[in-house]
Amino acid sequence: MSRRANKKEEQYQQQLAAAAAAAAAAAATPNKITHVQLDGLVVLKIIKHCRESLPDLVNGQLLGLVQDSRLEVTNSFATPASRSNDGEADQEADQYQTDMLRLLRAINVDYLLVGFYQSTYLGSFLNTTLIETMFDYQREIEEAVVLIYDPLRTTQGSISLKAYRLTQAFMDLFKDQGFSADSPKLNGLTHETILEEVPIQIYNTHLANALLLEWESTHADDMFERADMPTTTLLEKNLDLLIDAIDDLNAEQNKFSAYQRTLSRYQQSLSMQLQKRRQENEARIAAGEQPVSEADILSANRAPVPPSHLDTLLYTNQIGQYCKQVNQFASAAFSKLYVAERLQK
Amino acid sequence: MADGPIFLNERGLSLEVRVQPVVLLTIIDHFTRRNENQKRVIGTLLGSVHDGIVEVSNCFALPHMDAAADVHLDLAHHKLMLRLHKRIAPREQVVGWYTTGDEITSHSVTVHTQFYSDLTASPILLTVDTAMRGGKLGVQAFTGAPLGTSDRPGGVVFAPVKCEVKMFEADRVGINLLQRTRAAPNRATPLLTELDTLEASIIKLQSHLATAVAHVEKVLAGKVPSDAELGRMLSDAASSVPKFEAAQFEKLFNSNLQDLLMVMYLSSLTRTQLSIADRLNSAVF
Repeated sequence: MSRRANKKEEQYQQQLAAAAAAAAAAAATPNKITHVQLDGLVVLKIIKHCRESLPDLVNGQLLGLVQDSRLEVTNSFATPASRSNDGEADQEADQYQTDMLRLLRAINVDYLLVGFYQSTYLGSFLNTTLIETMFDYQREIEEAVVLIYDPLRTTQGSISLKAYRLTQAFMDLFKDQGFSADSPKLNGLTHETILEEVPIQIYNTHLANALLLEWESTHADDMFERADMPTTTLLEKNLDLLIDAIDDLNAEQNKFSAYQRTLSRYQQSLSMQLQKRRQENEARIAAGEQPVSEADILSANRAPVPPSHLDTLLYTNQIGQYCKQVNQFASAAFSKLYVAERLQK
Repeated sequence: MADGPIFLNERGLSLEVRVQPVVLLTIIDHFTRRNENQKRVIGTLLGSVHDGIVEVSNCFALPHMDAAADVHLDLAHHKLMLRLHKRIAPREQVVGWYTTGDEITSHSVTVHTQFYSDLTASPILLTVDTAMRGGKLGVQAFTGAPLGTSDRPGGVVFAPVKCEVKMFEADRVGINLLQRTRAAPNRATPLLTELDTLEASIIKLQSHLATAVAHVEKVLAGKVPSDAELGRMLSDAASSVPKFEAAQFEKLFNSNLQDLLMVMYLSSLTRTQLSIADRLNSAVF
C-alpha cells in the first residue's frame, strides 16, 4: 500500500511525511509500546464493517497517534475490496486512501496511519500477504499494529479482537530476505517469535460513557448465549483448519526434502564431472599438453534454487495458533460442562 | 401525528427510525473533535428505508460554518465522502442528516430544505443533545414535511418520530465490553477472556434466580398477591431446564469430557512436535 504522491496532494503528502517523521523521531527513543488503546468507536466500526461484509473477509486502516508507550487508535476506515489486481486498481486504492485521509483531516481526526485491521475466520489470518503488508507498515511507523477480529467467535458472546506486531528479530530477517538465501540465518527465530501480541485497552470519552449509560437502562445486557452448552461445530471447524495447515506444512517439508535430494544429486554429478576433468588434465599434463579449465563444467551445472523457509515458518505459526485456539475452546467447554453438572444435581 | 395530510409526502410517512450504535458514537466523536468556537456539528446519515422504517447504519461528518443568516456547507467534501462511502457499502443511501444540540434552529430548516431535500425524498433529522440539557444525552429523530404548495414552498415542519437503537448480536457484545469503561478510573478497560464473560453471565443468572426465588417465597408467605401470568412464566422457565436421567447424564458428560481431553491431548502433542521442529531447525541452520 504505497502512497503515490499526486501533484495536487503534494503539500498534503509533505505534511503527512512530517507527521510520520515526528512519529519516527518519537520511535527513535527506546520507548516501545506496551499496549494499544482502542477507542470504543473503532471497536464498533470494525464490528460493523466486518459483519456487513460477511462472508467475505475484509480489512481497513487504523488512524491514531503514539503517546509515550501506548498506541492510541482513535478512528478507522474501511478499505474497499479490490476488484482486480492490476495497477489501475492499485492506483484507485491509493487515491481512495489519500482522499479519505484528507477528508478526515478536515474534521480534525488523527491522520497518522498506525496499522490496519483484518477480519478472520477462526484465527486463520497468517499468510505472506499479511506479513508483507505489516512489514511495510512497521517500516514506516515502528509502532504499527494489526488488529485481528473474528466475527464468528464474537457471536459466541465474547469479543475476539487481538493486536499483533512483527518482532524486531523477524523484521531484521525479512529485510535481509534471510529466508530465501541458501542458509536461512534464523538466529534462533522460532514460529513463536514471528508475531508478538500487544495487550488491548478500550477507552471511551466522557460523552460516549454518557451515551452508554443511557443504553444500559434500555438494553438489558443479558448475554446468556455465551453460557450455551459447548458446541462441537466450532471445535470441528478448528480441527479441520488445523489438519489443512498440517497438510500444507507437510507439502512444504516435502518440497524441502525434494530440494535436498536434488541438491545432493547435483553435488554428486558435479564432483564426478570435476574428478573426470582433473584426471584428464593430469593425463594431459603428463603428455605435455595444456590443461583444460574447469569453468565450463561449473557454468553448465546450475545449483538448484533453495525453497523459501518463510512459508514453513508461517505454517508452523499457524498450527501453533490453531492449537492454542483448540485449547481455549476446550478449557471453556470444560468449565461449562462442570457448571452443567452442578446444575443437574 | 398522522391525522393531518400535511405530514404526508409522496413516499409516505417515516414512522420509525432505527439507529445503529456506531452512528451515535461517530456523531459524538465528531462533536468531541469540533473546532474551537464551533457550537455544533452536522453530518450526513446513511442507511436504508424499508416499509416506513428508516434504518440508519452509517454517517459521516460534514464541515460547515454557521453565519448570521445562512449556513455554509462544504459541498465538495460531502460529494467526495459520499463517493468513497459508496465504494465500501454501495447499498447505503443518504437518508437524512444529524446535528448536535437539542433545538431546531432556522439554520436547520435551511440545511434541511436547501441541501438534504435534494438528495433524498424525505430526509430525517437526528438530534443528539451533547449539552445534555435534559439531564441526559437525548437522541431524537424528526421527519420534515414541507409547508406551502409545490410552486411556492415555504418552510418545513419537523415532526418527532419514534427512534430506537438497533443492535446486532456482535454490536451487543461490543457494547457490553464498552460498558466496562464507565466504572474504570482512567476510562480504559482491558479485554475480557471467554472465562471472564462466562463468569459474569453465571453471576447474573444467579442473581436473577435469587430474585425469582425471593418473589416466589413472598407469594407463598402471602405478602405479595400472586400473579397468574408471572407464575406461568416462572414455571415455563423452570421447565425449560432439560431433565435427564442421572445415568444418562453421566454418560453424556463423560463422553463429552473424553472428547475434549482427547482433542486437548492431540493439540498439545502437535505443539510439542512444533517445538521439536523449531529446535531442529535452529540446530541445522
